[in-house]
Amino acid sequence: MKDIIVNDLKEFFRDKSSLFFTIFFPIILVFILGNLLEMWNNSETIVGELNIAYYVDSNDDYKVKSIEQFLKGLEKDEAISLKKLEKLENSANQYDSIIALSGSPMEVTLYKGDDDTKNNTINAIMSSYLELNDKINYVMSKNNNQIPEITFKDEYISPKNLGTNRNMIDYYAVTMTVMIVFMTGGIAGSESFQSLRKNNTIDRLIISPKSKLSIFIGKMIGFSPMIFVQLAVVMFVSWKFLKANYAASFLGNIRLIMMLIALSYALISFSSFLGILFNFRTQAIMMPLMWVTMFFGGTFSREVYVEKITPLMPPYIVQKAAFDLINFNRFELVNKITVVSLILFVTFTLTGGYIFSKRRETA
Amino acid sequence: MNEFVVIKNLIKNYGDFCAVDNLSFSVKKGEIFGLLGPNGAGKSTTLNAITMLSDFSKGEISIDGMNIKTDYQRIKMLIGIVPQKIALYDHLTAIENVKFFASLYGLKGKALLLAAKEALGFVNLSEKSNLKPRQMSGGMLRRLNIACGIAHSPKLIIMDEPTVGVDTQSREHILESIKILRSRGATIIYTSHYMNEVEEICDTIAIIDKGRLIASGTKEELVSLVTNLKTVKIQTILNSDFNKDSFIKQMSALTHVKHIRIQENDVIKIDLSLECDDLTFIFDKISEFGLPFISVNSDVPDLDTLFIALTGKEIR
Repeated sequence: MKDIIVNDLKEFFRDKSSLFFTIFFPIILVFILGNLLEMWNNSETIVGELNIAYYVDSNDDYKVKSIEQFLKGLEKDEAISLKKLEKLENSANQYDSIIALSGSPMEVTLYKGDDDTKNNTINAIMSSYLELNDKINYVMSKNNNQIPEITFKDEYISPKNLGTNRNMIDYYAVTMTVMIVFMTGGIAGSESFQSLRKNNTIDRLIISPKSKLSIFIGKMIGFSPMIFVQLAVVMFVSWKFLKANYAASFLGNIRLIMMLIALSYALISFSSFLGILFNFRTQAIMMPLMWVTMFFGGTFSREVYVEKITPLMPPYIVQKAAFDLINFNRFELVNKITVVSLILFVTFTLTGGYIFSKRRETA
Repeated sequence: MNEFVVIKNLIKNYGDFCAVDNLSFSVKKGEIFGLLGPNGAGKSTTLNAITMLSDFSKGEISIDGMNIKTDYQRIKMLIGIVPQKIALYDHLTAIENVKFFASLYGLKGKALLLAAKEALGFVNLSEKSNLKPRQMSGGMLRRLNIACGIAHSPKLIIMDEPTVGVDTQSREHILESIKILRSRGATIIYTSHYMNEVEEICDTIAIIDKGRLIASGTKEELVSLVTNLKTVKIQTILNSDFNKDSFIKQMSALTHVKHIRIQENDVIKIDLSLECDDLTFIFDKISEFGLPFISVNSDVPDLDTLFIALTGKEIR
């Protein structure tokens, strides 16, 4: 087996196309996609100043006063300005949003402007008021219609930094790493046995006294340099040159890399298994499969999310595990994927080796 | 000489198609055994069965007294193969290729290096040991292909058309090398489309067609089977306008003409029935095609004649 592994290592490091796809292609991908996608998908959305107006046409004084007090409270934020309108007509273009309080019992109508971000922000503000109101009513009903004295001061909420300053390149660093793992893992294995058939060396290997299982396992292990070099290149380049952040801790990064390595082996063993099973170029199966799962898995854009489909895509699950780890230091999903990948690797390697040992390559 | 390879009642079916039909023959230790047959005759299937590349439906194969079904691991150590297609790693040098394939047979360290160097020297590639396959000519690749198959000193070497597409010089070198391997005690099973090669180096020849053995023996024994034919060999010059198909069709229609073939060196070989005692009509027909007569010889039937007489086909 050692001879086969050493032979594969030599072949790998001397094959310019392998080196290109292992080292230079990921670098190019990281730079081009990383920069391009970051521009298109900015993680920071600036809401800007909120220019809100409200208009009252209701006799439900208690409710009107309650909302007015709430809205006036918003003015503590310098970015929010509030104006009470005498009439609704001809005011539409002057404000980001107009809140109309009308009827008895009072109803609230929210007139939205053109800016979706501002609309969503104002909608969230009003929704939080209604939620708060509900809670107060509930507490009063349990407390003889008395509001207990609960005092919050402004400084009660103290903003703190989350730690790592996350940006979109962090998202793409993870998704691109996952993409590289899926692409090369999905293709390399099937290509491996095709190349043996292509250069006719497979017959010499089979005729030799080496067991076919050891040949198969040797080929699997022979992929190690490709896996390690590729992961190292992608992660180093995106960290060093694009300032991408992976896990905050050393242990977190080790766990992340372990998951990706285990996943690479699982994918390679799966594609090798297909390569043994079918005599045609199984890249024809693997390539579209990988691209489709990555597309629906949100690898190429965070905007792609299709309910009931995206959460089932393996790239999505792996990316989610990676984000869980690097953002929240949660290891559960990473551990699960690592273990499942290793089980798949062993299963496909043994099954592939068994099929290889039983299968006759030539007529 | 005792029998080194024995094949008894070998049958290989692919569904309803019988590729090898009750084939039996034996190869003596230390001989070069030529296996001939037209395309699809079952040569490759037989070789694949001997090398254990493919299974067979029925029958028995033994090598050096061991059954390949039960002693396959020991038998594998005895076999070296030189496949028809060049089977080399593109990114390894010549010596690395030879070392790798020899290492599969348990050779290690200095012994491995020595074996690889000896194999390369044997095929006259010592000076090219650091070249990679893509830097080599077709003839050199063929020789390297042989080196990879013999470096572990196999007792049985299976050579499947090892001279395809090589220049005359390389071919001569390869044929001489094969004779040397025999003199060192190796048993060789050799297939080729080049009848003259088989005539030159093989001690025993077997002709198979449609999966069956139709003749076997030494060259002389086989040629003696052709008792009802005589051969006329005409050296001519074929020009670019020459219509080979039409020529063969018209010649074959003549009385007494049994087979006709045109060789690469512009030699027309015509097998005639023994009753034919006047060749004028043949010369007249050839003249109609405007072909000059450089020389005309009466020849004894050769393997070519035998092959066509037995199989009804040319070997290629």
